[in-house]
Amino acid sequence: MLNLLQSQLSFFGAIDEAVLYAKDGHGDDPDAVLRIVGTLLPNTTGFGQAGWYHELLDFANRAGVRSPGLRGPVTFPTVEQSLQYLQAETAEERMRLATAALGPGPTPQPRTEPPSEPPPGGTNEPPPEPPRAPAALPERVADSQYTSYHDPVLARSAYAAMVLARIDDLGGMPPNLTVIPDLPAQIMLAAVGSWGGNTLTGPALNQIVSELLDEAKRVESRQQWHSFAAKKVNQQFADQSLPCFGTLELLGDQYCSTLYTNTTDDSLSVDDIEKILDPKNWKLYAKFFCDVEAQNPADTAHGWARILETIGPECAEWRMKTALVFFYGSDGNGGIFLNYDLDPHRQHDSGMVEVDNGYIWITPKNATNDPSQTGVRIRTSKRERVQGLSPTATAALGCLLGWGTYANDMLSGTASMVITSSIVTEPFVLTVLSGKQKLSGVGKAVKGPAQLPPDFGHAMGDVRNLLTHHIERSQKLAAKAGDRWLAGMTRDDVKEITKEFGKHLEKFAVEAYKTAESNVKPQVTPTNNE
Amino acid sequence: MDDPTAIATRYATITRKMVHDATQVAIDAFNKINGSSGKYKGKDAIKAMTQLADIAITGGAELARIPLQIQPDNRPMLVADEVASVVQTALTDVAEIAGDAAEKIDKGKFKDKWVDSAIMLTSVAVLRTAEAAEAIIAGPGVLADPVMEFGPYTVPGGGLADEVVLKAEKLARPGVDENIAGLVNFTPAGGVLKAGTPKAFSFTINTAGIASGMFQVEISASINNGAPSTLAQPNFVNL
Repeated sequence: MLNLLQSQLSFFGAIDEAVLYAKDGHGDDPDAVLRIVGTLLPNTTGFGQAGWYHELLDFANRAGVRSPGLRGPVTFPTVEQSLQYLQAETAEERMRLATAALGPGPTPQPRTEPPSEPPPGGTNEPPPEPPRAPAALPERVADSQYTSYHDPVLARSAYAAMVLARIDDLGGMPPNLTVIPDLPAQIMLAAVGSWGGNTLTGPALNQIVSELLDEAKRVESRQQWHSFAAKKVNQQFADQSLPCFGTLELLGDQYCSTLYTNTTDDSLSVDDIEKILDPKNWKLYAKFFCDVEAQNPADTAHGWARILETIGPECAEWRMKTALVFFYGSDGNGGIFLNYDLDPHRQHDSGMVEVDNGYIWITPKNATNDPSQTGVRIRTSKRERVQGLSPTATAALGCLLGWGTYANDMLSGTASMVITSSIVTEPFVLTVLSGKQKLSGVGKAVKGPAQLPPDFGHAMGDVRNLLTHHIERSQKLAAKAGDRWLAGMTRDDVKEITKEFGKHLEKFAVEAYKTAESNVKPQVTPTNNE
Repeated sequence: MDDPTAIATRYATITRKMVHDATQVAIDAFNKINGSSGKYKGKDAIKAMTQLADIAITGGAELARIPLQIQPDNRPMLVADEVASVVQTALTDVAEIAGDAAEKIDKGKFKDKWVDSAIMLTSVAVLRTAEAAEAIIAGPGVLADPVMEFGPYTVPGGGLADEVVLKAEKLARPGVDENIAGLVNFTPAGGVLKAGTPKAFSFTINTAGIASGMFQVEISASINNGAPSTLAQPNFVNL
């Protein structure tokens, strides 16, 4: 499975790998690596947060997510493959690379009975499987609506390149990444070049990339990068490049990952966005949406639209189907919005999503609040919880793969092509209500059988002892650092406090936590693409 | 608010006891299961289930009491919520498994399935207590502030000498059978704009526990000068 979304994800996966490498104490300055990645990609380095990339791989292979027609397990592309794909300049080349990545296919099962006649050539070997063909994603088809121009996936890849450059500068790259020459620079050049299209080429492109990489060595905050990127490339690139991150919020009795975005554009109007806002249009310009279609019946008894979304970077391999209801509204002040929530009737649903609700709010950004004039602001919120997936991995689905970042997709070059083309899009039609809908905001996942933690029998006693000691230490540390605790404890806080108890205690506490954590987080399973 | 030391101690004491008790039940069960065959009977499984349910319920009740004791600072409340949520989930899991076992026993189909139920229950208990410990260590820093602020807005028709009383009549997503107007908290407090003060106000909404969406808001204003209560207010708020 090789496509732009998955390639971009693998660059962030490389950062996650560097974080795990640092957490094991490797590299020149592991603490500095953890500190800077924690700043540039919040909520990805802490206990229970690092390791999200492998968690997603495990998730992609879960029943109900892994495509039923797929032979063999879902594998994520290597960083090398992803880099090659990113550097491909034409749709044909991307298709060729995607085909090559599929390989020869799984070994066919031996026949139980010999063929009645010897096959041509006189061998009894079964005929080879026909070569598998990758799906005709727009990015792999010449003359499709896809354009890399202003593609937010490329801007986020540039951000990953910046973080990798920072890690590299701190001597924190894992060995398997150091063998790729100038990895951050190669990603940055391909990403920025493709994003800029014909407007950014030759020496000007090289100069900007060089300056971005140079700045990466000094970046201390997301804001610092944003300001620099806005100055060197432009505001839209800077906005799109910053990956959002999930915050933990309570809904009912469940904790969810919530993503907020707030984007502006001076060249489009509310009326422009209205042409493509209906969810059934999303697949035209947002890669993560393979299909968004009306259910049957198309509306609830009270008038909300019933829609089934199928999401995934390449749905022939792994995907999730979620039944949603949508309300199409006007804010009475020139703006329009969509409210959405889980459909109480989970028709055709994968049963993985427990919470999925939020809004997309489009408002004029001009002096007269005129929806026909250029200037638009797009605000979104998405609250989500996926069965058995940590908030960090869930946020990766939303922020890195695009489940919750419609705003950037609506302002991409592909979306602009859809707006200005003759393609007939589904119109945005205000919802006409007939009564009120009962929505809880919380869905019930289809639960699989309870599973034992790995090595459950042996680990049981160890977990008890470790946890008990851990709780005791934590109690003392928390008490000692009450103010820090209230402000939200960082790794640096933990380190400072534990110094009082000696290095041995610090090591013990970390080991204890890892033991407990291994029982509550999905295990990292070796794959053939590691 | 309470001393963080005391809060931490209370959580630690309860969680430690839950971990200890739950694991001991599991260890006993597995020792028997892994020992000579047939030693662990159906009645042992039922006993283990009961013990684990007791532990979860007792511990859950104790943990749930803590947030009531440490108001009004809402940050420890968030941690308490997190832990209470974990325990609540554990209770739900336990109830489902026990219910499933009971149903099978009633139908005479339980047979060897008790081992599955025991395994499920022990894993639930240990997993959930480990999660509770995780929540305590993570601290409130990972949780977002659920309180959102809107305003300021003005009350047309209200003069400096007038008194205005505001009331949130409605807060709901359009077309949804809900009204959470009670979550609106005005500034000045109580929504009372006293005589001699500017007729401006703002409000906050604690979004913890509610769905995200565009909410229609309706605020009424009573002015003691008899002027109509037309209010400059947002039609919608995004929560």
